[in-house]
Amino acid sequence: MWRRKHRSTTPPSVDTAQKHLAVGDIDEDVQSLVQFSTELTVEAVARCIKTINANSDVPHKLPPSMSARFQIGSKLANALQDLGYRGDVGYQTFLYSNEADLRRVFLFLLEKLPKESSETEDELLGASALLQREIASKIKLCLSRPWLPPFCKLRSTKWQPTQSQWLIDDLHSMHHFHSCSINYPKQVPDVSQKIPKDVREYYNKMPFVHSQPPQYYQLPSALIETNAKQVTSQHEWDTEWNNMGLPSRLTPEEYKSRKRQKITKNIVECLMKSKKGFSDQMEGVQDLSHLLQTLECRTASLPNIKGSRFTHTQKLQFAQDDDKTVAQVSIEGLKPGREEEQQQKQEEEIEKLKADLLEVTTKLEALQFNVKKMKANLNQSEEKVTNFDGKVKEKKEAYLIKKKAMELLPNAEENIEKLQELVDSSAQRLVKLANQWEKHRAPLIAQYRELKELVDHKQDDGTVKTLNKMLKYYQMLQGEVEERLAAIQEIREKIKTSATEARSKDDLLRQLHTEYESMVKDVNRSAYTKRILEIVSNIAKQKQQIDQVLLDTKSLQKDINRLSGKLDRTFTVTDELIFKDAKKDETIRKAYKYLASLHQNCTAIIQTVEETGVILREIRDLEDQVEQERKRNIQENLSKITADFKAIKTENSALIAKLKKASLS
Amino acid sequence: MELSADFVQGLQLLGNNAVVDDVSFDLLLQLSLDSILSPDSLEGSPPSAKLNNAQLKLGVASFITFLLEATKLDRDGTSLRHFLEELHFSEERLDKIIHVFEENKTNIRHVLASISSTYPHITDVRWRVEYYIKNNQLHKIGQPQYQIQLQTQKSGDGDVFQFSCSQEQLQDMVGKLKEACKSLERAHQVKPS
Repeated sequence: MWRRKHRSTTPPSVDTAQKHLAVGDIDEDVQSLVQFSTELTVEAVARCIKTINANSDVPHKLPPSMSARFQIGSKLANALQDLGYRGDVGYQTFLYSNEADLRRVFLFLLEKLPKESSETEDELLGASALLQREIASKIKLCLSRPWLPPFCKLRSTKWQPTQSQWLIDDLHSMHHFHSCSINYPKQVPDVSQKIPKDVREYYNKMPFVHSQPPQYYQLPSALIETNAKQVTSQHEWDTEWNNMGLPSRLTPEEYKSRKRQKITKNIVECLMKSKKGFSDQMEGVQDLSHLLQTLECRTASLPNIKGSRFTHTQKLQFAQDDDKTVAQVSIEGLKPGREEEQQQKQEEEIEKLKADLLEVTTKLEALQFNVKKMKANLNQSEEKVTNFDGKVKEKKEAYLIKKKAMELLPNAEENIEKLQELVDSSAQRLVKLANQWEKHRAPLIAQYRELKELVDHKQDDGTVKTLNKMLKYYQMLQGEVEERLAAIQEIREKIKTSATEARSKDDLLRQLHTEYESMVKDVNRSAYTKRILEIVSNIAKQKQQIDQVLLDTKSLQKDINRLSGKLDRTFTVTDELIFKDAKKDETIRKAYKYLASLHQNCTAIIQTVEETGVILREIRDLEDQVEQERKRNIQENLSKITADFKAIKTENSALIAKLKKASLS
Repeated sequence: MELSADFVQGLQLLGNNAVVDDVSFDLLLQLSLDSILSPDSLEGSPPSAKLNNAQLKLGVASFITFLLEATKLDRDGTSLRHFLEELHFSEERLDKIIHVFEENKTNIRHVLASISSTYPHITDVRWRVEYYIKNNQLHKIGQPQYQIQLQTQKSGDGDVFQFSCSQEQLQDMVGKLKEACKSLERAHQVKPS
């Protein structure tokens, strides 16, 4: 596989490339990139580019004409550079290719290919794709099961025992969502609260929940509906209370009663507006219950004589109309056969009844008139009686006085004196009492005034102070209440957001869990990690080797330096030594000459050795270069280019000839 | 999962050992399950007098609603455990409830799934071919006329849908039916495994 190619020079196999590109036309004996022909390279590269970037319209096949080929080559090169290929690329890389360049190009393209085939199963599937898959699997399941007649199925399902899945097959036991109201004991859980006796009786007699719906299979629907109703009404109340109830600073009961009043007022207004005939009789009716009562009485039947005087007058006013309508209705309901006779009879009856009614009404009126008269007379006579009583009393008093006077008359003078004394004494007494009273009164009044002033002041001071205290306290409380309300709102919002977050995180967790379970686990990570670790260890070894080599060369260089230094030193020492003695002796001079020539030859040898080393290195480099150049297929490409160049020339000349022809003709 | 306040109180009653003793608890569980899964078994026999108690009636109603809501939302045992632990159920009763729930979950879901509103299904077809000789306007019409009777079924009672059509119309209809079959096959082969 080409992934293992990390440092080897083996050419990549084409198999994975084939798989990825679905290029079916590569021959089987094409085993390496070396054997890719021009057309094949162009096709492969063009397909790669198309799969990477669907927009680019790069043609697959090379046309025969040279100029077109050249254009296509340059197009491919441009597309490759657009994709981000760093190397040097031009039309020559495709038309006159060599192995190394092609390998680089293909590696780059293969890396850029959208990673589809091996990794589609690992993609995180969105919810809709999962749903589609489930639908597809269920349909498959349904189609694969055999048909069973309906009486063989329990509640019209088929069971698949291996996976305990079930399918609803036909509509035998399907039913609609019919719900009904369900009763259950409320306000029961608080055991300490005493339930009144009749309520307890009611709860005892109440049937269990499952016997309440008319059909037994409607129980789930009914229960789900009651639950949903109550939950939503609770939510509604919560939102309304939070939005409108809390800021209004009322207790919940007050808020509800106020709301109820508003609603009843609205109902009364709407009813009054809609029925116009009521307006003159119903003015002043503000209470809803009173309004409903009057509405009821209006539609009450005729025999109901028990009504207020109000309704009685109504009846009298509208009685004739009702009679007429009744008469009409009864007339219209007759059959056409014996109609005339019956009509006549009924008309006679009606007339009789009318006459009776008239009599009765006139009598009634007369009687009422009499009653009124009597009442008026009664009132008058009562007044007279009271007048007379008053007069009688006065006269009695006058009589009593005169009688006394009469008794006193015989002893007229004495009695007159006595009476005068009495009168005087009583007058004096009165004067005394008045004085005493004045005496008492004055200080009391003064005291009263003082106390009043004191009390007023006290009250003023006291009241003002307490009022101030109360104001401050109230303001403080207000502030606190507002703070608390704000805090409550914040906390509520936080609760809501955290609840939604928790729910979303739970959902995410579940989804990821299912995806993790459904993910394919045959991707063998340990093999890859082993390979990677091997590669790393190889590299470490190689690094060690390189270091070793470097150490060796350094030590060699050191040795060389040391030795050459030693050599120089020994030479200078021997040189001096011998030169000293060279003046004296002939042999020593010869020896000196030999030494000098020895030194020269040795240095020459050393130089040549060095030069050979250099030359060997150059040879190695040149061999590498030759190898590289050989891989570039320059010879072949050059011949191809010359051939193509000739072809282009001929095409050009042909086109020129055509143009000339066209211009001439 | 949201239960209304009344039902939550009812569940708390069930968890309260003082109000509901163990024997009654088991009876109540069984009663609730039966009322959902096999209600016809309960029709004849009223529950025993021991259970005739306002609190137990509320408890039964709450428990049935709890089971229905839990299966409707496809909850599993662990999330229900969280929910019930907040209501102070004892461990033993909690385990019993979870066990009962998990055993019967597919059945309850099945019962809930049979509440639906669908078109009637076609179960059978009867046909007759008549040869149309002539009518008052044309002297000769030699065409077959097909009378088709479709037996449909919905919620246990069947109905008959009858119509007549000419040959082209019948071919049209058969073609549409074949298209429907093909689209169904395509639907279940959408994702290659």
